[in-house]
Amino acid sequence: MNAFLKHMLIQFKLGLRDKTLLVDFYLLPICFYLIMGGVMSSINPQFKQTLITSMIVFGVTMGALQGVSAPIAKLKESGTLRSYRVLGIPAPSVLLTEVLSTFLHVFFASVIILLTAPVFFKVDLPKNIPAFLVVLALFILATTAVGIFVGAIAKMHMASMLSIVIFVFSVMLSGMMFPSNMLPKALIYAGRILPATFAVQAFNGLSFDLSTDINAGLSLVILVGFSIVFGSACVLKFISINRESV
Amino acid sequence: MNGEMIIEVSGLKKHYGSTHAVSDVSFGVRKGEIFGLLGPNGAGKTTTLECIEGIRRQDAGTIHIAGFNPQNGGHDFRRILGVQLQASALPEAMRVDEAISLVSAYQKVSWRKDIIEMLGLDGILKKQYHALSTGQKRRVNLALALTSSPQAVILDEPTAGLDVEGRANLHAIIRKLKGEGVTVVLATHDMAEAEDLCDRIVIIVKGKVSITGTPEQITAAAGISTNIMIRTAKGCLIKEGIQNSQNNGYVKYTTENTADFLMELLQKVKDCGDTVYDLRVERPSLEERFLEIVKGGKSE
Repeated sequence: MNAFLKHMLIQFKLGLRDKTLLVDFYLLPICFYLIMGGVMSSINPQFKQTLITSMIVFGVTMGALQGVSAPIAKLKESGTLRSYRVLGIPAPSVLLTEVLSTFLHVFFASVIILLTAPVFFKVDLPKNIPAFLVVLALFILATTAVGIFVGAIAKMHMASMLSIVIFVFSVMLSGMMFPSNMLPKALIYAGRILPATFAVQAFNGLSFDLSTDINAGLSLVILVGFSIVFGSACVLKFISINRESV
Repeated sequence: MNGEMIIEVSGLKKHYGSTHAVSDVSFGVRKGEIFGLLGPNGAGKTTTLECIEGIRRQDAGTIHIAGFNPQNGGHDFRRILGVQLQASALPEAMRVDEAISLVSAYQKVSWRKDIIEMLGLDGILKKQYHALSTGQKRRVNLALALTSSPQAVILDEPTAGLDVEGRANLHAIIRKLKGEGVTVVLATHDMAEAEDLCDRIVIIVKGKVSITGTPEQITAAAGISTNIMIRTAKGCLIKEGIQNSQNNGYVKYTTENTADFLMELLQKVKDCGDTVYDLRVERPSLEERFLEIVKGGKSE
């Protein structure tokens, strides 16, 4: 089997074996979705309209940030990256397998939410499923790029803290839990530095045909921008780590 | 073992800010030998090794390994030089067989079942890395370093933290590698290990080569003393206070004038009415010689 594919398969399995990653990728997002779905749809039936979007944005933000920043920081600090280097395992492969493995885990968890929400909570599926999947893919990539960047620049304990901070701000300011236009203006603008904010707009506008505060197409482009900017920053950082290992 | 050099380091220099970790290091490693790299902490040993391994860029000097420059050797370089880092690490949940498969795949080689057997990894292939003992981790990392049947292998403190049995097993493996024609560069703080295993040694102190040679050449260098250990029936030398140091009934002397001193000592024992149980005349150990060099004593 091609070395990269073998690496990809092993990396994916590592994500399933690591209890912390299982919590970040699957357990916490799905449990939260089940609880929120059960509680909020009873309290506020209108929440059903945005249940899928909210819970998927929550799950992606959790998994693609928390699930990747600390492991990347650990790769650097534990000496694994150096060990890989002297064993002939290229740094680009390490980076790429981490991105793809995270993508797959978070994507699977999101699909679980997407497919079970109509069954458990009687919510409607997105009107435009292909658009939904495109937004989902771009959002996962954008958030993973941010998560890897955090792991590349920070030490392990700092990487965990930073990703928690970004996660909490995303929950409060992105519009996933409540419409962001209910927030004070300053916080609305503050939320616009987060990929989650644009994901909510893109999902609502392009997949569910709901009204949005920011143009849905523009939100999609901004998500691509996040991927490119943070993805490039990650690559540059990894090149510098590789050049002068410490 | 022939005289052909497989690793050549010339004029190596590396600094970190104002600290000159390596000021001027030059040595050559012959094909098929076990070459020891010794030095106190902070001597520049690790930096030198990292430059050879290609994971750190030197500021000046040249390094050639079987014709490759480690800085731009690429994939082929990694196949001819195996490396076991002092702090090797793998993802904790990775299984041993997965690690071997991964490295084999990237090195484009098949599993080396002979290495797996030689290193006793058969019974732990399905174990995850975090569940391995220190000795098992060392053996796994050595197996990974040997995956591509390299011409040379660098072992950085391979026996640190191992028990006596583990150390003995690893020594046997290193000797076996030499027997198979693999050149071994062994970085170690264990002088007895270096003296026992190495064909030649380089001692690096404060970023410079202090001395290079076989263990015998290094310990036999001019200005060095001889150790005399003597044990008598009645311990008269101890009682009379004629001693340099004392260990389990043995009295140790260090002298540069072996023959005359020995005659005097034996005469004293005879004068005491005592008899000699055991007498040993030894050249100083590599450890004693190393300490002398590190403290600024004569080198070459």
